[in-house]
Amino acid sequence: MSDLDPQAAKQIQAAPLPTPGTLKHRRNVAYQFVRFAALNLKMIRVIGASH
Amino acid sequence: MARLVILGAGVAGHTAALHARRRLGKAHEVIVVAPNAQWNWIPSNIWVGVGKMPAEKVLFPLAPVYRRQGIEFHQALATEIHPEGGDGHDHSYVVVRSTAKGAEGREEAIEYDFLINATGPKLNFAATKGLGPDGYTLSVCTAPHAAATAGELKKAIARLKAGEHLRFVVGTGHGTCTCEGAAFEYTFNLDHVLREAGVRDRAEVVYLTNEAQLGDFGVGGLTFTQQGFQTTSKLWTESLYRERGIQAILGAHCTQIEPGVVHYEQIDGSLHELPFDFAMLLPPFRGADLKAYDKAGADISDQLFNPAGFLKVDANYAAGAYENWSADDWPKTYQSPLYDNVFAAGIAFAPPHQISQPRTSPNGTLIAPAPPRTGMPSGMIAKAVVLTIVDRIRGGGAAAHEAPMTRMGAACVASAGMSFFKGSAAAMTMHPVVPDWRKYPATGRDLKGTSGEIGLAGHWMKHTLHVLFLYKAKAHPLWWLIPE
Repeated sequence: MSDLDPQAAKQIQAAPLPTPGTLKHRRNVAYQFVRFAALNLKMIRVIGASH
Repeated sequence: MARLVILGAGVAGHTAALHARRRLGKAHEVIVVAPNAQWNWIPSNIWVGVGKMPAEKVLFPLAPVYRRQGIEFHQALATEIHPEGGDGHDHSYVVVRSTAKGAEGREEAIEYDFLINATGPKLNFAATKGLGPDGYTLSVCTAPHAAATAGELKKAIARLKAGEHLRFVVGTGHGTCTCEGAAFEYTFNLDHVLREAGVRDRAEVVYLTNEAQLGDFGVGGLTFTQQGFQTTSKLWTESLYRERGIQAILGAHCTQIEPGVVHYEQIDGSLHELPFDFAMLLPPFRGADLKAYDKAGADISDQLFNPAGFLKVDANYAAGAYENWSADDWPKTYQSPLYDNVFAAGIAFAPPHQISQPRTSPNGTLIAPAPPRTGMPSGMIAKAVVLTIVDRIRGGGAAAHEAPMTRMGAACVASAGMSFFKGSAAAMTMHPVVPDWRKYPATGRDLKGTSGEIGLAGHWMKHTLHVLFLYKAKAHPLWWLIPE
């Protein structure tokens, strides 16, 4: 990281880095299909609570 | 017979027009005045701007839809509101100036019984010298802007492939910008495209933002639950920047853009210069250039609008300092306090204040993300306003319908790369949009309705929304079943 904004760079460097397993999960079609269904339910809940 | 005139045909104006036409009998008129002939699904401009989608896929002509629906369409720019009539008119009226081909500049007066100002934002590139496509930076705010940006990106990728090292700067072009989510999306789509092209190692990507912290998004950030822990959008977003190797400059107000150089000030008052090879910086928003006059012809614009040109509604504009802000400051009915037949919807309403904590640099520069009120809130506000107007036209004495952003949730899907199998997006929900610290003292929001998740599913969701909202906007069969 460069010194463009040292404070921001420090915060970014301190953030958790996803493991290769997490990154794999984020692209796993079967797992993400389940997450897609879950996301839809979450959105329906938010929409329902707002209308 | 009543006449509803809607100024603007973006998410708010178009939603209002379709719902009004569906609910009002043919005896009543629905008129839309908008300067653009085409409707634009703006969230997908991000994909146009990285060359992943042609501009035609985010646009369609409004006139055929309105003709089919029985909505009168004037391709024109509204310039004046006369809420008390005058100058030979017994009725309230607006003055519009045609932008239609062959009739450019022709003015006419349109009388109204009810008026919805849904004019959206004026892209205020002039707020920062050198900002915007007429200056030295690019934009994705409109489909043509995004298409031009994609062209420049293609040239930059060719330079990278030729072995050059380039710096890409993406973010906000002024301290009071909103839509940080769009800048975030463009940053990560850019990263994705550069990786696909195999040139990411020669590109330095810098996110330059007015947010004091990453993950603020103009809503003061989010707290949500993930794997049994409460986490914040700050930590979550920082993790994504670390993973993708993107640098950030926080709390920045661009003071001037010169060819290849951004000048900016940070919250601590320090002044900096940042050379760039490619810069996509969003402008701050203003209200449309509308004037208002009373019956005698006196200018009452400063009574109807705030200094930024947004229509004042039933909000508390005297809340004062950040410490005094409350959820009660936010409007519920979006009705003008001066004229009960005038409403605002979407970006056109004047918010009482920011949502994020505003900050001022030691030099007196305000660096404060403006509150986002695009997308889902725009549509929901428009629908509530229409329901109120429909009730009044039908003669019911019912109370106005309410859609306060302090009770309204929103879903925000920020694309981080477009690909059916390798794409990703940050899918966030928040409820409510504006934190209510009295109701939810721990985090300001309902933890059950607030969430964040990154992955391929988010991309599928973003694409689904693209398809659904274009279907809805084209008023295809059963369009009204798709919620705002």
